[in-house]
Parts: sequence; structure tokens; C-alpha cells
Amino acid sequence: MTAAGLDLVLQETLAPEAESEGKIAVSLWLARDPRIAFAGPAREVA
Amino acid sequence: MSNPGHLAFGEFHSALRAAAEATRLRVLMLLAETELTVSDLTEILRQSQPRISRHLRLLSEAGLVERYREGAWAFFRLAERGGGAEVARALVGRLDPADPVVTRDRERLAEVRAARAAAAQAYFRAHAAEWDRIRRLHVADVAVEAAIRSALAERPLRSLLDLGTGTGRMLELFGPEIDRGVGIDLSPDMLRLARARLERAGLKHCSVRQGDIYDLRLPRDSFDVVLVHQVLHYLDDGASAIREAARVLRPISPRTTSSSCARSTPTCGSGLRPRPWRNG
Repeated sequence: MTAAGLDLVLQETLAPEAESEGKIAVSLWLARDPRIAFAGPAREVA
Repeated sequence: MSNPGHLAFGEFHSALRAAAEATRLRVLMLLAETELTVSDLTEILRQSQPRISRHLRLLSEAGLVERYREGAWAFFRLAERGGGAEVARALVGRLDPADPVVTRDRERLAEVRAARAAAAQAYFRAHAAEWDRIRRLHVADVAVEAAIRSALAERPLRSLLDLGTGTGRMLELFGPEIDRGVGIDLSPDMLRLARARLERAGLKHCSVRQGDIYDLRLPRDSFDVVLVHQVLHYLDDGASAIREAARVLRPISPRTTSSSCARSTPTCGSGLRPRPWRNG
């Protein structure tokens, strides 16, 4: 994402429930276009 | 020209001339409902394929209709942007829904849609076992969808692009909250499923089309949000896909991606990587 010119603003991993042995996690990434800094500095992302 | 919805006199005249014919007006009315092929329109309007193709060509040249290729098929829909799009929608909007011509065409359209949905359902049934097997491998969909929704909360969400849309679930999920949604997938079978799903949900402002995730052929800065959900693990070159996604993302917009990844089990990787994105 960084190589694509984006700013990573969130990375979250959804882990399987404890009793779900063998299941895999799902990862979530959220990125934004850094041009936000020029177009609208008031806009914020968590 | 300051307003993109305005047309030069010649263009406006051409648009009106193209629409001012009974069959072409019926075509516009039908395409305002959903995307259709020449074959669908032939069945609904009971006219020959060359005649329908000629009408579509004239509407397309006038900027009222757009054409998308999907495998061996060409799909048509009302133009999404520009003065021609506004003219088409304005004209269709003046048609009386209770008019006998409109009613009859809509009844035939419903038959075409039902046949489409049945074909999509047959494909779904044929592959349901495999999808269920994959779904059982990872965290429940409901938790993943809640996390995506939470990540995008409070953010501008007028237009959404869903890369690798699959069954169209992300468009269905966010459809009620957006003005425009587009799903891209390589597989005509999946697009058929997604199309049936969006029609069932009544999401006319959402559409799907066949496309290459590495070369979207969409304008730069054209979507508020780009989703790449459960797709990255299928790709040969995820970085290129992310670069292309970044290109079409508008500034002041977040982009979210989610992807299954391995956790303490060596089997998940192979289970979630059954095919590359590109054919061949």
C-alpha cells in the first residue's frame, strides 16, 4: 500500500474463536490517499 | 462548458433524435431498469437482432447508452455520466409506468430476469459445496462484514468500487448507503450471480462488469471507496492490483482491503489459493 502511494491507517486481524482450532484469521487493512492533506485536512480517518 | 451535465446544441439535438423513435425509447426504458444484452432485448421487444443492434448503435453514438463486453457477450446499460446520461434518465422518467406499452415490456423484462436468476441459481447450487468448504475455513462472514462496516463508518461513501466482486455481496451490503456502486470480476459466471443478487435487492444504482483488476479502464480519482475483499490471496501480483486501486481512488477517501491469511495452520494457504487471477 505504501508503495502504491497510500497511507495505511488501520490494520486489524480478526482471529478465529478459541474453539475454532484450524480456522484461519482474516486481516483488514484500511488506507487512504495522502492527498487528503491538501484537499481537506479536517477529514480524519480512524 | 462549466456544467458536465450540459450538452452542446448539436449533441443535445443528436440525443433527442436518437431517443425520438418508439423502439429506441422502449430500449432506454428497459436499460434504465437493468443491463441487457442484444439477445435479451430481442426477446423482450420481439424484433430481429440486426434491428436491435442498429438501435443500440444509434443510442450509443448519441451518448445515451454504454456498452460493456463480458466474455462473448456485450451488455448495454444507460450511460452513467455526462449530458447524454441525464437526457436519457430525464426522458425515461417522463414515461407513465401504467402505460400499456411500458407495462408489457416490463412484464417481458421480468421473464428475462427470472430466467437469468434461475441460471445464476443453478451455477450457485453447483458450486455451493466448494464455497461452503472455503467459508468454513475462516472467520465468520458476519464478523468480517461488521469489521469492514466499522472501518468505513463516518467516511465519505457515495461511490464504491468492489474489485473481485464475486457474488456481489459487498455491493449488496453497502448498496443502500451509496449513490453508485460498480463491481468488477473476471468470471462471467460470478457476474451473472452478482447481477441476479443486485436485481433481487433492487439496487439499480449498482452494476457489475467484467474487467481486469490490473487494468481497470476506469478514470483516475473516480471512486470514494475501493474494496478488495477476499481477493488478494488469489492474485499473482497483489502490489500491482493495489496500485491500480489507488489510481481510481479519490483523494479524501479511504480504501479498505481484507484478505484471509494463514494463522498457525499450513493448510489454509492452499485452501484459499485455488486459482490465479489472470487466465493462462
